[in-house]
Amino acid sequence: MLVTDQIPHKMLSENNLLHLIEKYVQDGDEMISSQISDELVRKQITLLDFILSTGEYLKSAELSKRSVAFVLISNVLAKLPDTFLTSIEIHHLVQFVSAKLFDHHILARPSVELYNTLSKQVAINDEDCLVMIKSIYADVYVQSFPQTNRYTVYVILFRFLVEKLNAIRQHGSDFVCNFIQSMDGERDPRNLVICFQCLQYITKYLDIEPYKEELFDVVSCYFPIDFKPRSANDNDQSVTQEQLILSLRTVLTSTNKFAQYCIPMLIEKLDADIQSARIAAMNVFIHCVDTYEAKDIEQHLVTLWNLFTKQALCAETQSIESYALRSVTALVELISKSIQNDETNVSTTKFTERAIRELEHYLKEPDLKLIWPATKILQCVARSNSNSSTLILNHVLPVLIQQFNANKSVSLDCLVFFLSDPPVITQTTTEQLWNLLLNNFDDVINNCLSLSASLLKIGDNIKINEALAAKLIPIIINGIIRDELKTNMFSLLKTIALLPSTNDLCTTLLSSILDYWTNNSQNEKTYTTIFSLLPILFDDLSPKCIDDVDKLCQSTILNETNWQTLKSTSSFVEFIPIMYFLSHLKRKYYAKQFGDIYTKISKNLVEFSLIDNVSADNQDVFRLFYGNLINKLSLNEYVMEQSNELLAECEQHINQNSPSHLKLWTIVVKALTISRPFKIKQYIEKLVEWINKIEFVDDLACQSLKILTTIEDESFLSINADSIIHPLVKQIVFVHIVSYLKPLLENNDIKAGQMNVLIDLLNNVPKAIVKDELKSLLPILIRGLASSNENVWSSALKSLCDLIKNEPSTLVPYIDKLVPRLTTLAVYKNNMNIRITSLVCLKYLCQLPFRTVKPYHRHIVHVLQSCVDDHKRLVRKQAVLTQMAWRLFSDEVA
Amino acid sequence: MNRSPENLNPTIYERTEERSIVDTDYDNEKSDEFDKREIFDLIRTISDPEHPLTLEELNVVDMDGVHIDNAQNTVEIHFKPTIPHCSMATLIGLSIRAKLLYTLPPRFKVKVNILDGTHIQEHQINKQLNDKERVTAALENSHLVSVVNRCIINQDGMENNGEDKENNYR
Repeated sequence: MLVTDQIPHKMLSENNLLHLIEKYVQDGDEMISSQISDELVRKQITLLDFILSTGEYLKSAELSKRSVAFVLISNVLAKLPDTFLTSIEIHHLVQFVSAKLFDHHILARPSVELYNTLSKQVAINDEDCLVMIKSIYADVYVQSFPQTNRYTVYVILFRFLVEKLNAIRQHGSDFVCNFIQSMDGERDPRNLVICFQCLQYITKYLDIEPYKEELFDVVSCYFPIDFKPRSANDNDQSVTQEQLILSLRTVLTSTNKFAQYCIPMLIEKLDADIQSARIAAMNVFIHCVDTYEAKDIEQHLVTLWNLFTKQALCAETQSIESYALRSVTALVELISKSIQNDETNVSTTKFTERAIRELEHYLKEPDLKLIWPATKILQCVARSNSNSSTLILNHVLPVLIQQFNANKSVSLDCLVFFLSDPPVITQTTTEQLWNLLLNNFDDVINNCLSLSASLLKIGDNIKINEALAAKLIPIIINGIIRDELKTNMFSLLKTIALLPSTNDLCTTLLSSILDYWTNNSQNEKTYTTIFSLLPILFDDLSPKCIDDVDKLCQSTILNETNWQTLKSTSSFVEFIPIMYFLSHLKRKYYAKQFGDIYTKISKNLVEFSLIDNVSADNQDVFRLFYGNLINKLSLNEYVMEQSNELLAECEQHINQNSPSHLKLWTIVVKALTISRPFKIKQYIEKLVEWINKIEFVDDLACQSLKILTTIEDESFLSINADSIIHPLVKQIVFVHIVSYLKPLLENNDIKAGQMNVLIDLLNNVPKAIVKDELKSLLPILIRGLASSNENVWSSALKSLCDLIKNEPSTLVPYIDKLVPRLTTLAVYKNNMNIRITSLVCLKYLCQLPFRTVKPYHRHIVHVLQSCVDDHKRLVRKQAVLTQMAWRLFSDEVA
Repeated sequence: MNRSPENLNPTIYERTEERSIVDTDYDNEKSDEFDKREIFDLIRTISDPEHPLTLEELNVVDMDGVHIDNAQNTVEIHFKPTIPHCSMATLIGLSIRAKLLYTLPPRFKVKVNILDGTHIQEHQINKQLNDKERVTAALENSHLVSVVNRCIINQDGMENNGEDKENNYR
């Protein structure tokens, strides 16, 4: 620094330059090299002057001085811009350095750095590149360098491969040979990655034919990669295992010239005991498909097939299985790359026939042990090309149909699996499958549902429409669709609604369901199933159905006289289902209808949700339908204006103690906030204000808070009903409510109801959001456990359970309150879920240090002894787990 | 434990599927009696002292070897060692006893026996296993306890899966 300050820039004379260089040789001060390169850029000195000034040292008899001078030149040039040097300057420098490389091995390292700098220069010409490459190969023994310098050599070569390929081509295949020599024995993963990158270019653009075996040897010795980075906090330069694997794989699969060596190597690895080696081998094979040819694998075909099927049939893990299956597909794809005629040796037909021959008996075995793996393999063969696909389907489907009686659900599952990418199958097979399905529908409903969906996609279904409808209708209108059937049922209905060939079926289904609902007395559960299913059918047929919907509306809820009669009769049987139905229609098709309904009947809806002679449940339906409408129309300004007016009106009534207005207010607020959750702030303020001010509101307001925060269960304001729901609504509402209730918590004047809402809320919000808040809410949770309301216990326990599992240490201060409560709840007679969750919590307590739980140890073990004699089996099961955890915990400590 | 296993190549049997849960399992009003399967679930996951396999996978225990009488409060287990001269039979029996001791309500009287004709010293071992004092003494020996615990601890992974599943049901 001192030197820099003393010398004004403009006066950098020759003497000063010499002085600077001398200083550098003595101190090695890097500031000096920066200063000199600055001067060079500003043209205060010329490159020639600089090099000449170092001459004294370059020629010095002392090796160390020569070396330092070389380093200085290298460092100064490295700081120059890439466009600074002219091609003549570069030429001279290259000549100079290549001459110096002879001088002494100590100078080799700075020479390589200098080459690196020069190779970056834009003006470099092909001849100089060639000189550099030759001199590196001739005079540098790369593997004797430290890692960073080896890296530099590879970087130079890589740069030339990318930018100066023509120059390298002049060098001929000697370049390949020399490269092999220079990387032979390389061990550093960072260097290997760049070596492999070089090799990708070499195999792609250079003639590797004379050295392909050597090249393969030098690469394959690294396969499979078992490198593991030392630690995660290594600096950025470190490479990952994936990077290495990927770059090595790309080299191995870059050309089919390697095939003759690579395939035997893969076979050897596939036979190995080490799982990772097998996975790596399969992974390489899967990626060979693009470059290798069918003839490359011809003689290994059977071996490969045997190895892959063995892996797939006896896979220890899922990943082995999936790799093996992908390899099978790859193998068949590779075969199908050759031209297929009667004379080819590697024919897909022959191969597929072999596959069928070998695997068929697994499908026929009575115990069906290997039916799944065999099915998967066959499907993978079928997937690869159409020829195999036809062969396999024609052969295997009949076998599976025969198997039907042995195990209905497994064979149906296998069938569905085969039919999953719509294949071409014969008319007879389709008919056979339909018959099988319709005859056994009631035994294996779930499998039949998914099989029908697959079959419907395949082809012409007109004949079976009625029969299928006859099977489906009872399931739908019986009310409750069992949970395990739901997914398949929904996807089947979706298929039915989407396919043009099933229009009739769809209409049949719709009309029978509509008939059923008008002719029978309904209960709530039937509504929800039917009306969550109907819209699926309606959606995709919408152009046809809009008229139907219009008609339906006109004749019922849009008819003012109906409303008049309703007032006197209070018979809502017709209205309620229609409201359910309409509320589940999709916005994109029925926007106009929603608008009409809103303008015509919104007043009626509000009125009916407030008048006393309507039962509470029906009031709810009116309110919710109203909410559904304004939510769906929340982009309409007029509707917004009206809703705000309604809210203001409700608020006035609430101040005069009207519970039904509070309920209406809640639904309207909810309808508005699920689409625009940021508005929630003002409403929550209002609610909390009421809680503090008005007597009757307390409990109701808490319920309102709860309604505002539960989104799933509300059938009218949910995704199923196609409501507009902001994706982050839960988070936003939760954050607002917590931030509002927190001060109350801290002042310790939170009311029981509020606490309950809060604890319930924790279970409704995604865990990730709650996580940070949980710790601060811990005192509340523990208080919640002692609350008088049983529902709060179970929600508090669930939150506590997560907390104990993930951060047991946070509970230490509360342990004296927590343990007695948990042990009491573990034997709480009335609710088995509470017992189970308490036992889970008790189990996680074992994670705490023994000294913390020691005072409670005997008590807990004592309680657990009565828990293992619980009258419910599920409780006993958890009690056993907890008991064992504690037993082993105390034995360990002992 | 450092010597090589006596039965180098045991036959491996398939695991039974997890007990399926029925609706009444969630009905707090109904009480579920202890049954064969429940006792079997307690012991089938015990791991063999020699092989990284469970007693169920080696067919050392099976459902037929479990007898329970809720009225009399008795449980009787018959297990069959993989080979007639298996020296681990006592340890296996002790592990079964220990597991049942830790996990069954104290009202049950437990008997653990080798199935007739499956071991050359079955009489001797049965006597040892059903001698309450010798079992208690064995379970006070810290070395033996750690070996037994290792056999009954290995199942943890499996049991956790079960637990997670259960949480999903709820």
